[in-house]
Amino acid sequence: MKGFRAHRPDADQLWLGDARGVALVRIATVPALWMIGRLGYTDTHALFDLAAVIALVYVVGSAEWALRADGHGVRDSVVAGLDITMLASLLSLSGGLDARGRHVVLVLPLVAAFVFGARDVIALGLLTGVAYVAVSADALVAGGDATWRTFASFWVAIGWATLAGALIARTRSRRDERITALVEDRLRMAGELVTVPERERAQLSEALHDDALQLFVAAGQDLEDVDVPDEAVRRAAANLRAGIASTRALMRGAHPQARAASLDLEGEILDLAGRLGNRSRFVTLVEVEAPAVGVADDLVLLTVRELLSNAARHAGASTVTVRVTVDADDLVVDVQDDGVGLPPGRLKQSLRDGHLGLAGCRERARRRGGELHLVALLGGGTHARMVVPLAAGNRPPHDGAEAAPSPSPGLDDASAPTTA
Amino acid sequence: MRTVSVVTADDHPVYRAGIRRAIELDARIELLGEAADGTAALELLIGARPQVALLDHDMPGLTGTAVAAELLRRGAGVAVVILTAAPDDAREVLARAPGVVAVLSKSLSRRAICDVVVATGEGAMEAEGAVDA
Repeated sequence: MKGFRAHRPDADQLWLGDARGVALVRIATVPALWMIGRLGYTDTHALFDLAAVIALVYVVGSAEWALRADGHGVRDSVVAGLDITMLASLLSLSGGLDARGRHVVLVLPLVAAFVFGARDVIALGLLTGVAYVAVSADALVAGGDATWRTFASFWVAIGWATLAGALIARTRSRRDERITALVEDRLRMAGELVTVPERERAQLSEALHDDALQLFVAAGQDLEDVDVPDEAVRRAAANLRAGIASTRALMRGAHPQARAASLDLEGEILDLAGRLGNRSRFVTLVEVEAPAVGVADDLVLLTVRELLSNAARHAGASTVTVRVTVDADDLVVDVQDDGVGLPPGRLKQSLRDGHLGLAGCRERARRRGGELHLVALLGGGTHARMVVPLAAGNRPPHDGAEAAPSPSPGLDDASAPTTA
Repeated sequence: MRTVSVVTADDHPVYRAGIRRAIELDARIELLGEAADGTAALELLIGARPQVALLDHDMPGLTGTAVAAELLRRGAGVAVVILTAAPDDAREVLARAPGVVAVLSKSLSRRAICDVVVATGEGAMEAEGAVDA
């Protein structure tokens, strides 16, 4: 997306919660290893304290980096490799094969289960085993039954932790898939919810058109056929004409497409912005380009209404900018405020809480081949952008879409909003 | 006096019956047949080859303009008059559709509709005469 001051890629990411937990475990590991090394019976190397400090700086720094860059900066596998190297170094300096702290590495595959898939967890477990060989190299060269027993038993422990980690990873990824499916289900339902009343209105309008209106018009023609109309016939004809006009007005209001065609988009947005702005004390700047009118007015208005009322309720903004423009082959709707911004995970949370308005807009944009993104701006504020292609179905009726007769039944009807 | 031959189509039986009565009462027009949807209308028109087709736009199967386009594609030589209850601006769009000679409001009096059918048929006859000469 162009024209942004700065952005976080997507504020509603589940993984940030996991990443924070993993970061805390990694940070806690270093002081734990240091204390175990200091309290243990084995002799620690002179460089152990220095290594612990370096390790602490590394875990804190890398965790901060990962959270700042939303995980896009460094590959997780690189971090895992560095973590193993760090642990191996600390263990080497605090007793090698016998290091009391070696049991801490058993946690490694379990923590990895929250970040990686089962296969990667197994690879990480094997790598940990190899690292333990390196840590124990001195003792293994010296040999001895006790040494081999210690070494073998710890290898079994690493194997067990790896297996457990892999199983956890598998369970977690299945749960993630389930959650994703549920969220998608919910989005689809949200889309349905907003379209059902529209469909019903359209059906009502079609029923009026297909039967009632035809009967009225035919009756009017019958009355015109009366050779010498008396006062009563003239009155009946006048009433019938009024009835036809009123039915047509009803249909225009009832048919979503027809209503959109008669909509004053800019006026409606200004009206909306005025009402919400007065209540929540923000100023709205509205810009609606002429070619953007009549493309998908109902969707634009629905989305702007949702975004403005969100801004009014949650943002605490002083200025909100609404722009409805056409960029190449796309209709673009931008709504930007200078409020408190979107905390990470906020959108997912509101979906879980049952607030479906925005999800419904997103689903409807998706159905028209478009998309809706919300972005938290650095330094505060939220920028929402909806992009909908100006495809055949989205073009305004006066653009000629209707003039091209289609041999496929129904298509013509769909793009003929005002045909009665 | 030569009569103008016509086929009419509308999915609403009452409206269609009204048009049929008016045509039958009008000595200038000969009704060759009527249909209740666009597909049947196209079939009838291809077989009967009237001078004028008086078609409702909004029909099941094919719309009136779709039938007009198909007739034009097949070179059927039928002048298509579209009836619609759509407002003026939508009628202008329909009038630009290929193969459509005229677009009329369904609320017009039947006499006026018949007059347009006759004028269209006579126009078509004159055009044919011009080609013959």
